[in-house]
Amino acid sequence: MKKSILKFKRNIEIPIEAVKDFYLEIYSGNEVILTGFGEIEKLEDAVLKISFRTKTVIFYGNNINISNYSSDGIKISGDINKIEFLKKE
Amino acid sequence: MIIIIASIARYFLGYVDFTAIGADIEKFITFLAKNGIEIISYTKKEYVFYGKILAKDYLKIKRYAKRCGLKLKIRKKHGMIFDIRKNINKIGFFTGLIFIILFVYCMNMFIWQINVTGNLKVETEEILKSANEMGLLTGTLSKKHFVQNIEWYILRKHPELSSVEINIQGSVANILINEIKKESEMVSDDDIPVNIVAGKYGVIRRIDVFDGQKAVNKGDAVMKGDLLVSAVYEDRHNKLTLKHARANVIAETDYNMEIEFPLKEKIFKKNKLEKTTFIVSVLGKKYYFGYNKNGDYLSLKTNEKQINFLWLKLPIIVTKIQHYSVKENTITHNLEEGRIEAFELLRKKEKETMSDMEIISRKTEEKIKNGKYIINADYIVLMDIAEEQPIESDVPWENSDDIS
Repeated sequence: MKKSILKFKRNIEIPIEAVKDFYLEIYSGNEVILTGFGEIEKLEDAVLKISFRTKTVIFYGNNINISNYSSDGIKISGDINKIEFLKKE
Repeated sequence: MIIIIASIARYFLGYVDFTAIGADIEKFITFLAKNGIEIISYTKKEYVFYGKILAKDYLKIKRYAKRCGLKLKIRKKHGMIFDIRKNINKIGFFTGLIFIILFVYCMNMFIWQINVTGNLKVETEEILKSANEMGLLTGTLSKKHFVQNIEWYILRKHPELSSVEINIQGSVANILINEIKKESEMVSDDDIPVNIVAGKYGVIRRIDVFDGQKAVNKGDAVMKGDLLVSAVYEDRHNKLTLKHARANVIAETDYNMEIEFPLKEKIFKKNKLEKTTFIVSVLGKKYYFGYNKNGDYLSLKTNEKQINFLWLKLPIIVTKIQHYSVKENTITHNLEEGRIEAFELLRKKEKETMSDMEIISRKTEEKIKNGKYIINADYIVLMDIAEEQPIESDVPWENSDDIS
């Protein structure tokens, strides 16, 4: 399944988030970039919950902030300790 | 770098710090992102949301806040537009702003820089001097100059130039120069009849006569001043004519050279910085700061800098002069070092002065006299000893260039 999606993406040259739900990059545990549009469900100092089409991503840590948020993606900074993925029913 | 550029752009566009108080903050920021409104940075503390947004987007987010039941409040306004609005009523700010605009406008009315391009043979200083004589100086009004007159004057003053073009753009005057390209001229030295005589004694080893009558042969020994090639030419009809004789006469002769190398050398070395002085030149007039014209400074280091105001070059040149004291050191060479250095000097001098000679043999004598290592070198060489000697005669004179 994964291979076929990547092949499809290569052939039609569109961003991966158009096919997949989101794309996640982690930079040294202090910065995370999520490509793809997600809705913020919960924003607190220690928890950030973002809902995507198929999954919900939860970040746990201290001083979690959103540095940038647009329809293209979201940039999260702070001391991130744990990331949780929940499948939507 | 990107962060700095983004900050500058934000300052020019203007942005606001705001707070949103209410329960449904998450829904509010999702709305903003969905609708393409970017919030620069976020923090949330319990029911209070702190954010920064571009000034133009602030009005748009009001309706989203209302829909989410949030209360918006501006904490602080940042940016150029807000600074101007805040200070416009203050007389000092307003006066300063007007003064800067007027100052920049006035500065643009004067010539602050004169560039000369395209000159190779004629010095830039010479052209600038001619332009100055016609009143084209730094600090003068750019509109008062009659460019055609200056161009004509420079052309008249420098016959080596084929064209001069002056363009005055704002506060810069560009002088474009075109020089006359001269074709190489034929130089004729056949102006007088000459004999070829020996410039030095020796034994002729080769003789190539191009014009005139050969007077010696290969193997002949000649003394200085002996006739080698005669200007008097006798043709097969026994008719005598005078010519400008030309020949290469290679003879075996001797040559001498003496080299001296001092075994004790005095070297002057830059020591510590003693004093720094300045010369400020404003519109060609010089002002000295801490400068003693009669001072005995042996080593100077100068650094010239033109003062700029924003992008404009002002007619103010600051010359920084650093005065160093000088320390005298004496270096003593031993005999071996002196010998090596003296032979090195001899080799260099041979290269310089004997490049047109062929050395057959060399004999050297070495001695030490008055603290100097002396080498006396005697050579046997092959060299051209031909020397032209003009003659005066009533015999008809034939210029070979006229015939050709």
